[in-house]
Amino acid sequence: MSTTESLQAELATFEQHKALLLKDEGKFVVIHDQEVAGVWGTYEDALRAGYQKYGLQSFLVKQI
Amino acid sequence: MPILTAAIAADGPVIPILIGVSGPRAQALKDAGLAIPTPVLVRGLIDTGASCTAVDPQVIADLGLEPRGTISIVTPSTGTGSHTCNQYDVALVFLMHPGGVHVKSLTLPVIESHLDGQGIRAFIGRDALADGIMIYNSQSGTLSLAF
Repeated sequence: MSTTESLQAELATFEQHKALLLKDEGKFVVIHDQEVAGVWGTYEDALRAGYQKYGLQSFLVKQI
Repeated sequence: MPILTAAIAADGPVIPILIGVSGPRAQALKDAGLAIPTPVLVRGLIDTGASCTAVDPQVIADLGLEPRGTISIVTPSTGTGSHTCNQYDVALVFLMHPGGVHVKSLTLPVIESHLDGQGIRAFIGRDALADGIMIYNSQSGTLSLAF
């Protein structure tokens, strides 16, 4: 799967979970493929968590 | 508080800025036994009309970055619609002058935009200026920026 395809899959996962995630509006979610890794208060914290969990694999960091 | 002072050039408030991979990405590269790309020193135009910082695609390529998200943006050229841009995580370092003292370092997502034809390689948006104090003095032709 290309990086673009991975990102599209992760954006689709975000849309699937959006209603639930909105309770943390303004925070940052990390998503890898169909897995929601968690929510963090800052972009940098979310980014760090994403790299620690998924290394150099594709993952999405998105503000909710 | 370190203060960056730059002359306002013919093309506006342009400052030197160092763009590198983000700290978390640098650690992941190191953990994988890969080289960390050398940060790129560019001319960046301060653009308070831009909500997010943009860098030239060549910088993205030089740093070997992959998209980490997307964002919808509205510009004069998008009319009433919006345009979706990829976001890339980077470290930005504000410098007193090229090769000089670090004034401020921050990690943030940037979008890519073809800028090289304008003689700059970054638009520095309000996200990068969020904690700053900026004085644009057109009478003296200087820009001062402190964090």
